[in-house]
Amino acid sequence: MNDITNQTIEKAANGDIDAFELIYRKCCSFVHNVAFRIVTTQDDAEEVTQEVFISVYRNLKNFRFNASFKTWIYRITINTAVNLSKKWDRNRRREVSFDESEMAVAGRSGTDASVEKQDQDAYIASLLNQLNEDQKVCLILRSIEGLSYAEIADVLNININTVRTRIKRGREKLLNFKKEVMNNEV
Amino acid sequence: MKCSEIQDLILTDYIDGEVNESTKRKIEECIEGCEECRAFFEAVQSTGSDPFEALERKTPSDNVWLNIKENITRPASEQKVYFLDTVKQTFEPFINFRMPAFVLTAVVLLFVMMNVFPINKDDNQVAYVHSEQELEYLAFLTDDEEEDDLGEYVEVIEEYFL
Repeated sequence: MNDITNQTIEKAANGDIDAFELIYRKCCSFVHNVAFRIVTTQDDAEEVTQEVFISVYRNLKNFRFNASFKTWIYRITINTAVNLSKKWDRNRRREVSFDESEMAVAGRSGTDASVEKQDQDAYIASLLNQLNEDQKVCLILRSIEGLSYAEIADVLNININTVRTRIKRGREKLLNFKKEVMNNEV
Repeated sequence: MKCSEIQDLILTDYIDGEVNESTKRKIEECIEGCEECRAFFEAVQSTGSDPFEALERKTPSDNVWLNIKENITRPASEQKVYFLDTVKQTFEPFINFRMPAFVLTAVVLLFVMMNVFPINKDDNQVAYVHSEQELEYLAFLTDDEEEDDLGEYVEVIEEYFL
């Protein structure tokens, strides 16, 4: 990611598709990964990834080189994923409701390893679903992407103490959620 | 440092490696010596930290790049259609779902704006005319010549009666 030069960005901004493909190859993994944790399905994450890179391509000329390119792409990813997630949630809420847990179990297929991965993804999604959008984004950037508090503040354009507060509130919710689950099991 | 402060730091800066060495040492001493803080640390680790570590990184399929490439190399005329679609999609939620709230908010805002910033372009002119008339009136009251004329007039009437 860090080896994307200013020259590559300038070339891509001037319509060089090969330069833009290089940017895509370097960044698609973290863009898709963040998108997947926000929208929770592979298909939706791919649609978000697509929208993000189309948006990046169209706005490359507006990119200011004094900012970090990675931070800029993270910001576009978060905005696109959150907006599309809200839009899709509204549309899906109007459709026939179904029991998500039953659907998740019914959707399991494949080898033991792949089932385990599906379970892990479902567990992470159930944890993140306990949080509001702000807390979810901060925890994804911190705990999954490994960004520092200062980097998260930069991506979201907020104060570092706001990042700290959102992470604290988010983890408190997760602790309470786990307590509730354990009490229900007992 | 109190246990509640230690636990606040465990929940954020300590678990995320954002504390300095001396604070880190104090927290670790408390985790070692205080049963409540140790239990709290273990709970935070098992719920708020461990599940998110070493997760499999997701990667997009090859089709994603092909779709992006097709989209960005599309002729300008077709991209214009895409732009209009995007605008339509952007405003769709407002049109479909938030129309009453949107209209109500707009009406309230308009009402507030009209009261806070009343539009009356003639205000200054009216004030100007008023002040000019007032000045003329004041000038008339204090004009010596006028007073003299009036005085002469009174004298003539007095003479007539006498």
